[in-house]
Amino acid sequence: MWDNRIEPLSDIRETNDRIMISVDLPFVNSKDQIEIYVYENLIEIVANTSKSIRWRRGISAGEAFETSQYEKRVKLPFTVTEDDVKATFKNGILLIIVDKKNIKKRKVNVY
Amino acid sequence: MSSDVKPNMPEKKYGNITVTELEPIPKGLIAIEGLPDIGLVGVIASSFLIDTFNLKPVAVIKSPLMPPVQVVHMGVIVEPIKVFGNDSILVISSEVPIPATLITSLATAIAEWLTEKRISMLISLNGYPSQKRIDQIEPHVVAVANNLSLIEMIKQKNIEVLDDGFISGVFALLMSELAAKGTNAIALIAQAFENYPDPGAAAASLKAVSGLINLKLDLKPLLDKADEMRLNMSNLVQQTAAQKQGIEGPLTTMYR
Repeated sequence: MWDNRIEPLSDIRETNDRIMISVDLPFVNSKDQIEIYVYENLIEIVANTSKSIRWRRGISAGEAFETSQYEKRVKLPFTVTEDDVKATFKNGILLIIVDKKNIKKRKVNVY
Repeated sequence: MSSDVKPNMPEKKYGNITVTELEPIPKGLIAIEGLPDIGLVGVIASSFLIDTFNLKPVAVIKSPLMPPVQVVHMGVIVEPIKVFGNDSILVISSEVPIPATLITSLATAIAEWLTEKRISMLISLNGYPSQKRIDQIEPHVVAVANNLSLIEMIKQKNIEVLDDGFISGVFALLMSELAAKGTNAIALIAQAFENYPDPGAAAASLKAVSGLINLKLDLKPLLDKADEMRLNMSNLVQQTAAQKQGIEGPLTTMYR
């Protein structure tokens, strides 16, 4: 969590050929409210809500604040370019698919 | 003692579970179970029923094995696991996840208490995790019953029956316990987001309830508040998913 941005709920799954990152974005109505950046092995997602929302940090008596932005950063175990990353936004869920086919496999000798 | 329970209210003990009745409960009611599970389908649906029918708290369920958590509403502590009702339905709901260690005793206690209350039927509302949920405007709902005679009724209401598979969690044990006591139980299981609160799945399960027991429901207010619910229930869905992983390990492939 950074400043007054909320970290949204997310789920990351990996298969042999891709990594799937889904992010739940309530109050985000359009893909135009979402920006995705790729920095080497980091994917950053910033999304603007269509209205200001009141949020309380943690489940107990945390400090409440108003916000209209989500931010989520996902660190990958390898470097990617924007060509390896595809994103769709449907039913309030952002789905990012990171293609692993360009990752170079290096053989390690066994001694 | 919370604001729900007053001194000298009748308490019934079922092993390590205590049910305190706040109001007299008529016989023959339909009970709806909406404890936290996949996508918080039951929690969202039961919360909608409580608001829509202005249901009052009629019983509190407690256990010394629950985590030491009290829910605070408008500055006052309230019990997290409650039964709400009127003269036709009971709704069992919880604002906290049920610890895996408590599932068996809770299901046994609820089944025993509901049988004593001579409910006509239990309908349990749950979700099943599906990666295809993202593509569905209206999620798919399947039903499971605890005896064969209910299957025909479910089919007549045009609800699909889950022919083969398995179910887990409080509702699975609850249905089994009720079967042993001769009490009817049906679970409606909606395709849901596994790790996110899913008001759309809750609406789909309520639509099935509506068809099953001829309960008139306008689901538009629920869908209108979907974003608010998804945001407000994010903590509970995370805790529930963690508990569910503890029960099942990696989730079933059968449902995907």
